Amino acid sequence: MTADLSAPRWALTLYVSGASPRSAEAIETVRRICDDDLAGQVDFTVVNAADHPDLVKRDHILALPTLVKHSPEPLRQLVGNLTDVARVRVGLDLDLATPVTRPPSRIPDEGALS
Amino acid sequence: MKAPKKVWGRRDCSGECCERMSNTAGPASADARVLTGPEKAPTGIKGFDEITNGGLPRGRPTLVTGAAGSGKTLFGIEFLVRGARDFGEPGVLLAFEEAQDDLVTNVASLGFDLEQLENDGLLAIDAFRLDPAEIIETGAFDLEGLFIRLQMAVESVGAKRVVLDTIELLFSALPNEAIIRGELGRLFRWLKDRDLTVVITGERGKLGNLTRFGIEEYVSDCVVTLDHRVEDEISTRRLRVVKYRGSLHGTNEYPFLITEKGLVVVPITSVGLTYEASNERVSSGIPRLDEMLSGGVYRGSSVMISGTAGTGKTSIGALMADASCARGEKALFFSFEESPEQLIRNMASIGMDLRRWVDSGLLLLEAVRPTAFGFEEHLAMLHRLLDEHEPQLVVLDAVASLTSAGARADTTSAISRDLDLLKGRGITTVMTTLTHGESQESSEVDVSSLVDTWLLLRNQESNGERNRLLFVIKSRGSAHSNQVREFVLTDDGAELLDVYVGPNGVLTGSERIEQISWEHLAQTTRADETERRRQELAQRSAALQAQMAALQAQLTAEGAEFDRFVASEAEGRASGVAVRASQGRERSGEQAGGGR
Repeated sequence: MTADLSAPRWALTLYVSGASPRSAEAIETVRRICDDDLAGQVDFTVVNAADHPDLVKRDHILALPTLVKHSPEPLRQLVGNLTDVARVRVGLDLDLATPVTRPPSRIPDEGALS
Repeated sequence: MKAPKKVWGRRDCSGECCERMSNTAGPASADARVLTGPEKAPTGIKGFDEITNGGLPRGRPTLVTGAAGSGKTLFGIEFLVRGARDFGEPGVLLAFEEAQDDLVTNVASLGFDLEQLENDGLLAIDAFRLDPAEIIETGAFDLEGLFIRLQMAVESVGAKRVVLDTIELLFSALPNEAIIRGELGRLFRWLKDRDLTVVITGERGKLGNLTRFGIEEYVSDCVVTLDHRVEDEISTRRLRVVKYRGSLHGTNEYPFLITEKGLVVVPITSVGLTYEASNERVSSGIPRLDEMLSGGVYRGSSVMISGTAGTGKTSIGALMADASCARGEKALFFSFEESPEQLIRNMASIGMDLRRWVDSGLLLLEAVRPTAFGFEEHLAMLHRLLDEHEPQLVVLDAVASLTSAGARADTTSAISRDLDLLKGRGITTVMTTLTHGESQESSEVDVSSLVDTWLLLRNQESNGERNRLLFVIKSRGSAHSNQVREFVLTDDGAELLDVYVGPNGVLTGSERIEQISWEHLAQTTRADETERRRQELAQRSAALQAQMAALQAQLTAEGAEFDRFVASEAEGRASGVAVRASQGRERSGEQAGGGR
């Protein structure tokens, strides 16, 4: 556990394809996790893959939707619409998160790019 | 319409076919209609375009499958590089197996500069990192990311060719097979819609499956398998076109090589039997052998010299190379047994100076241990040397040595490919091959039926010595002597001598010399006798001449005598008349004078 709670420990990028139902589901799921588990500890970005092929290449994205966990280490790609909650939690290392005691903050809007 | 092909031995049928064909096509459309199979994209891989009659099916996917290390990736990369460099078709490489840097380094040794091609905008490489430890599947997905990247790459260079190097790895990275299959189906449609010529590599599966995950189901047009096997400790790479929809193709397994200039497929039948036949004859370097072959061997033909150990096979080969250089034509001597220096020294002992040709660059001596490489490397080496040196005559010294590099059947096929290669280039080939005692008339490596001229050297043992005999067993397309000659290596080169055939068989060596001296002696004796008789005759003739002169003299004398006699007789007759007259007078006087 880290002492510095001001800097977000989680850096997540969700690659989606436009407004597909699967992508919408994934965005919804990640939002919920950010609110419920990672409030104040996450930097979350949603990228529409078709608009940013360079980022898709940089992050080695193959499937959509894919949630990339840049930090904490190790780097991980969560492929799919994130319906398998148990695997998502493991994949994001949510057990490392500080339990949320206050309302969520620092969650950018869908589609915004940092 | 295709010109009707002449079918040998089926003339009546071919005539009928022509008629039927022209009827259906009609006279007006005869020029307009061209019957062609699928359009092809040349790979530029040496030999491959020949066995596929032009390359891979254009605008369609081709599956190249093989075990690990069989050269699949190289096949794909060469297809891209040659396409970009030689055929003006930029390409895209999607690499699932290797990182981009590794790829660039790995193919640099083949002379492919991927970075340069990327900088020139002829090639786009996108390496996918598929680390199963990094990827967690959490639900339904599609492969839109792959499509986006592929599209970006294709558009960035205006690609006509795409290589997916081993897309099957998707199956190990992402466990949901059903989704991947669906997406692959979509991918191939996507590629086909854009008329991209695609090579997909796949790892060979167990139990004879073409690929591990059955991706051949997406590729129905062309399937190529690569194989890398080790037999008798010698590795051979082989390539086979398993399937090629809508096109004729060679179906054999063809050996192929990975050389420093890329892949080389060595089709055994690539030149077929269509090479041109030259009527020009080249000298063998032994005048009397040329006589036996009615003027030498045909240019571009193949000569096999077989014989047991120490019969002078290498010497004849070297003589032919020497003769070639003397004509100013380049020669290549490929020795599997001797080092260049050794060869030069040994040939100097029969008065042949090979070094001057080596120094002047006309002759290239290349020595390599047959066990050093497999057949492919030998072939590759031959290819390279032919390209670099461009000889007009090649000597392969002791092809039988190649059997030590692999199985006999392979040797035969390797040699026939050698011959094909050389004949296709119009190069005169001389092979020497070792035979053993009993199988003298069948060559060790069973290529006797492939060669045009076959010289057999044999050791004749008699009278406590071994002498070399030379036979011309066959010489296609030319009259050749049926006689055996004695082959003698002297300090000044090689000579062929007539052998003496007598009641005791063929005489060679000292027996021949003995025969010569005996005959010489007999001749001398005969000459002496003649001279003696001539002198005798002269003497006798002189004697008779003298006799004749004496008789003539006698005759003359007798004639003179006779003349004298005739003269005296006439005189006598005249005096007789006078006497009678005086007597008459006297008598009448007596009568008148009254007597005494």
